[in-house]
Amino acid sequence: MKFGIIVTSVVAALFLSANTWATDVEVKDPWIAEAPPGAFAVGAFMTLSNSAGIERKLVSISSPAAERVEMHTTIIKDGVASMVEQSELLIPAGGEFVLKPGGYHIMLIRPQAMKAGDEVEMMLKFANGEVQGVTAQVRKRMSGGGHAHHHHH
Amino acid sequence: MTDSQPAKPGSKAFPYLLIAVVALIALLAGIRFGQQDEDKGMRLIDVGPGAILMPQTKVLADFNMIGQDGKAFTKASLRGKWHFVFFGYTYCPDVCPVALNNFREVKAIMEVQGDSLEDVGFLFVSVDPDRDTPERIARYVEYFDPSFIGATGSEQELQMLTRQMGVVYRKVDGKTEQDYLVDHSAGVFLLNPDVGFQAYFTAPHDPIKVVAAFRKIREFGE
Repeated sequence: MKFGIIVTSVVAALFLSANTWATDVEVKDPWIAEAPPGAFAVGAFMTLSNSAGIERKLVSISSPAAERVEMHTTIIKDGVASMVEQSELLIPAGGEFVLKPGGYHIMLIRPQAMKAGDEVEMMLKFANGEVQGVTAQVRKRMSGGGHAHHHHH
Repeated sequence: MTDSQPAKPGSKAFPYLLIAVVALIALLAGIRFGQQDEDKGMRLIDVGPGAILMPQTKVLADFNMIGQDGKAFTKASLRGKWHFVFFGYTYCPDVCPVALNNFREVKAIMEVQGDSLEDVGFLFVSVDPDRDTPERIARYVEYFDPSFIGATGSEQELQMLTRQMGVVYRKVDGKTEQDYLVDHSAGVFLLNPDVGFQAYFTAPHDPIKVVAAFRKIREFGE
């Protein structure tokens, strides 16, 4: 009987750790910039850290707090700003992908009303089928397009 | 120049006197225009990275737009104050909030450091009048600071302003007819109290550097 429990525990532990191995992408410091009331879209930002030995691709995002979610980057060329939609974000093996104001960002389109302090759920879907839930906090923009660094883990 | 012998009309020397007078006028005019080189000397002053002084401060021709209060917005609305100006649209999720937040920062830095703000304003011009009504613009700018002002106009009315400043914008198709994006100039334009286009700040903007450049520009403009 004890042997059975041990085997079950070991197998369970292996399954759990296998899931841990599959979740190689760590989402660091997810946040959403508070926007003026009635904003058409709000920006979500985070750092995606990939500890795996192969690249990971973020291919789509969903959220109950928005009509739809897109990934974009801002390009400023010859003094003109434009946004380019991304079909995927490539996180290099053993590397990071940073989403920040003025650069790559997640667009939550037709979002629910949100203000600093609110928490918003998002589901990140990767090319390998992995899905990760993320809770992002809404924060006021600070200088340089950044955000307040409080409660850092 | 010819000799100063007086001559009467009709005498042989009169044409030469006329030429001398014309030459003198031309010389004085040349000296006066030359004083603009002193003005140009200001252009050689280093106002810091990312700030470009216009070679000639062009006073804008009048324009006729609509302000966030729904009332007429013209040169008169801007005269008497320096204005930092940004062209964008409220459906913009990234560049425009960053720019207006930078305006907020510029204002805050000057407040904290004791600069006079009585003659400084911040203007947001929407280049997307199809979606940005005055009310929508008002909600947008007032979110960043209650003192910020906004304006827009019909295509023709916008062009009366944007053409004078080299501002560029164009619609980009989106997922639906209503959800288009707009490419637009990313810089910040500086208008002086005479509503002359004085300087341009390139993106990305560092509020600290913008304030430092503005101080120099303002000092030499007075």
